[in-house]
Amino acid sequence: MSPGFIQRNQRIIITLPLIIILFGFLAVISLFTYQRIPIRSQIQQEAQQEVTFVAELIKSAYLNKNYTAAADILQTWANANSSVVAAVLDTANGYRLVEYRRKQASQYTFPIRHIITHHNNVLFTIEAEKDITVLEDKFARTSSTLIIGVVIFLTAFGGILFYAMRRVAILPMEKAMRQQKLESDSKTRKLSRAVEQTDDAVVITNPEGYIEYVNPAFERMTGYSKKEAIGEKMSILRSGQHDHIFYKTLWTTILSGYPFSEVFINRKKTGELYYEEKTITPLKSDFGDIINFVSTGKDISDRMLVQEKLRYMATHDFLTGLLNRVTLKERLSYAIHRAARSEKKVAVMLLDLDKFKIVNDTLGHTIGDELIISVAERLSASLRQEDIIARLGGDEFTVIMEGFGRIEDVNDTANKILSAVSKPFTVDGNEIFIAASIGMSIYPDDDIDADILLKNADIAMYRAKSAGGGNYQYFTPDMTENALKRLKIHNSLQNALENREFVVYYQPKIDLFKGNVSGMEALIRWQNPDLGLVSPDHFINILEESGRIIEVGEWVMGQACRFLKTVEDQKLPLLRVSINLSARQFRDRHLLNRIQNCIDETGISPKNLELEITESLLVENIDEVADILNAIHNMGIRIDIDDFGTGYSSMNYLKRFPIDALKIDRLFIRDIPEDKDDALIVEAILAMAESLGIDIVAEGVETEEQYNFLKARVCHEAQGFLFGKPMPENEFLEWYRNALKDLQGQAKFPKASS
Amino acid sequence: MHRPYNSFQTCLLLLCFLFQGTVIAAPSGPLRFGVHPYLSVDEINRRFMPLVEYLTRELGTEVKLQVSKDYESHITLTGSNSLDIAYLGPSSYVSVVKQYGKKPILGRLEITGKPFFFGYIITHKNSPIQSLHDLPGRRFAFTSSGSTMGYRVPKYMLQQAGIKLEQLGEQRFLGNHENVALGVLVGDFDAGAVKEEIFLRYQNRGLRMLGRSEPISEHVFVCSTKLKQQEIQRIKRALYALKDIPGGLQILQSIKSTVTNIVPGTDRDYNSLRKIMN
Repeated sequence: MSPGFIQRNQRIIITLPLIIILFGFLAVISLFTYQRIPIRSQIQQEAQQEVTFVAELIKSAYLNKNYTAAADILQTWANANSSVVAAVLDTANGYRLVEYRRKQASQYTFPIRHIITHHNNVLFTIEAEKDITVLEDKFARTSSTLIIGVVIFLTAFGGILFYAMRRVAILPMEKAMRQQKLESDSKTRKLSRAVEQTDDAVVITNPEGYIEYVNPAFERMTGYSKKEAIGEKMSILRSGQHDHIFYKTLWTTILSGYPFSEVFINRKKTGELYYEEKTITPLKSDFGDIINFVSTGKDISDRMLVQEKLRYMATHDFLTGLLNRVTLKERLSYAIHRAARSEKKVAVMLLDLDKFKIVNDTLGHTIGDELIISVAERLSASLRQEDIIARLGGDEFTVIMEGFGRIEDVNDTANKILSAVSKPFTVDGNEIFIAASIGMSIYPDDDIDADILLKNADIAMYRAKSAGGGNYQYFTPDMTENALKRLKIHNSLQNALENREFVVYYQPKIDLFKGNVSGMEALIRWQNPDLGLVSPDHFINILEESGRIIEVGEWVMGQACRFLKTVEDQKLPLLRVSINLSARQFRDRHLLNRIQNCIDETGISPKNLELEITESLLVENIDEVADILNAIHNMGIRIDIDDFGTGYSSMNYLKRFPIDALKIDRLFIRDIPEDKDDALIVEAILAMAESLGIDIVAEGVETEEQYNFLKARVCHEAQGFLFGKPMPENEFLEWYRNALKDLQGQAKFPKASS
Repeated sequence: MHRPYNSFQTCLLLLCFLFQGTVIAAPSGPLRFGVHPYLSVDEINRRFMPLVEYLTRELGTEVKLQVSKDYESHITLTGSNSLDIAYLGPSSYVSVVKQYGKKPILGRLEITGKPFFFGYIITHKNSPIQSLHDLPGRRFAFTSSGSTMGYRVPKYMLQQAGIKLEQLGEQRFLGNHENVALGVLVGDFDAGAVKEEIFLRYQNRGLRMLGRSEPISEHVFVCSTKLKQQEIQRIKRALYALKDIPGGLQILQSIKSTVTNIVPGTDRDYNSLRKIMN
């Protein structure tokens, strides 16, 4: 509340009652003035009536020829009415019968004229003058009384109004202003005390930047005493950590009259650097000139360190110290920008460890983590300084390469990484063999967008995985289609079992020595309404990942056992049925129970049951695996090693497990007997198996040459299209019956039905 | 110049009368002084009391004022000598003499210097009527049929001019002289008859004289024929002296403001009126 405001209000408070008084006054006067007109006219009317009455009397006397009486009547009336100052009676012929005039002077009179007629003849005329001085005096007296009354009333009213308004409006304002002044005095003292005692460093400089005041907090923060600081420029704190643009921005801002807030890196008197969160505010005079700058700031060095740490954690992988996914994307974008300018290429490599899950699951996460760290170290060692390496999570790594001359350089690097990873790792006493799959995409050949490049590299990586791992693949456009199909399969698999989309096919196994049908392999098939018949290569690993392989596997086992029972019931020669067991199923704690349940439910003989496992299962946690295998074996169930030759193919460990047979992978069979290398390998396997007392089963036998080759080299069993493709139950039964007939007809071996 | 002499003479005479009265006069009961009722009794008493007291003092005999019941009885009382002194109007005097014979005249009133007056026939000053001969067919206003000046005198004057009342267009009695004057002035009447006093009062306000009667003697004081000659002479002397004695004029004017003296009169002075009344 300013004094001007109060004065303004005071003026209003004084003026308002005055205006009200004036208006009231004028209203009364005008009312009175208008009031006297009707009063006057009423008086005139009454006088006229009176004269008319007198005139009637006069007329009557006159008509009786009593002229004196007529004159007397008027005379008497005039005498009796003190207000009549003059009365004249003129006859028709102009004779003035009466002329009366009162002596007293009269200020206000009004005339009355009355003409008396008789039978339309004018008899005489009365003219009188009535004195209304009394009335006017009365009016004047009344009005002056009224006016005085009104003035007194309105003055009193105005006074009360003024008092009330002053009491209500002005006094509280004045009180508030006094209060404000008191407060502002004490506020000044408080403010200076606050500045002295605050924990923030406060510096006041003149417009040129020379220090005029520093508070104790400033002394504590910088180490400069008041004496040392005053008169110096703020530049005594400069650390040289900010460029000239920083200071230019600062001065431009504050000289324009705006505050500048920033984190400064300043130097203490001791030379130590510190972070100061500082605001410099220009103080202006009433005319808008800058008269001072005030700097307030606090040392936030501790906070900055924490922030640095947080930023590091936000941008780096906590386990390996490599960049994380977020930072990688950022870096990739930068790399793409740089490459776009220099018209160069960028390679994106996505690396995923093969079978890392097994390590994690069997050896535990601690060892898994240790392995990841070791992998990261080897990766870093295999790369150039300028290459970017990041861990995306789990066992996934990404490498970004820039500035390479030829694409062969990228291939070299990929090979280098693969070989580095494939060397055995020793973690906590365990020797671990792993491999890696690498998918690669190239900017700008595959795409120009960072996300799409990463996705494409991912797709290529899956291709590398499906190619058996331990290799690298470049992204090609057709891969996208596969990736989409894979996704669709993944989704459709969710309800496949419930929808009875799975079917079990059976492929016959032939005893090469006896030339008869020795068994059948149960193979799962997936008949999806949308996707059609889907190959197990495309969905088994997905079931494996989701864990549903356990229930699907159990279902397959149940089906196979039931079918075996069917064969038995039809009085056909009994067969062995072999069932594939995935890694996940194998690690299932309830595996033995499930098998036992299955046997009990169908009532088949365990001797007719055969489980096929892959050799990769055997490398993990050997003792435990051995225990499980022994247990299975003790139940009377045979154990086969599937896909032999594609993995470690180390014969030594086979001795430690109760293995009944090895199934040579079709890759080795495909090109025999033409391919000498493959032929040698097969011969070596057969020789070794014989020495170990293990049966050999050849897979993928399709020609008679293969058959002959294998039979000549003492291979025990074979399966393949030469004998019969995988078939549904009924078809298999029919084929089986035919085969039995053929064999009776001296056929060399049971053949696939045409 | 002759005023001091008059005063001396008056004093001498007064002393002489006083001496005589106390010595010679033999009181013979109070003297009755009668007045006709031309005004209210109170008014008459007021007007005549100064004179009555004066006479009582002068004559050494008590004079008693009495107002007659009416004009007729006044004439009878005067004629039968029931009144010692009587004040009479001119026509009443003529009636008394006619009925009861002559009575000794003590004196006549002199009004503004003359003991006689005239009767007037008047018209409006703007009227086309120029003489009494123009009056036939005109509206004429009289006072009342009993009035001397308001009726008998104008009737006589009209007869003298050869006009009969029947010849008038309209004749009407307006009650009093003033009313007649006003009736003519306001134009209701073409002419009218008024006594001199009224004519003079209204003359300037628009009246014109058409005709004037012969002089008619003024009001008269008579006495009983039974009074002794000596006594009559003493009364006469007292009356005639009024004009000259101190306070005398006030006594005279008390009767009527215009009275200036009381002068001697004879029966012949009323012959003109006697002629009219017959």
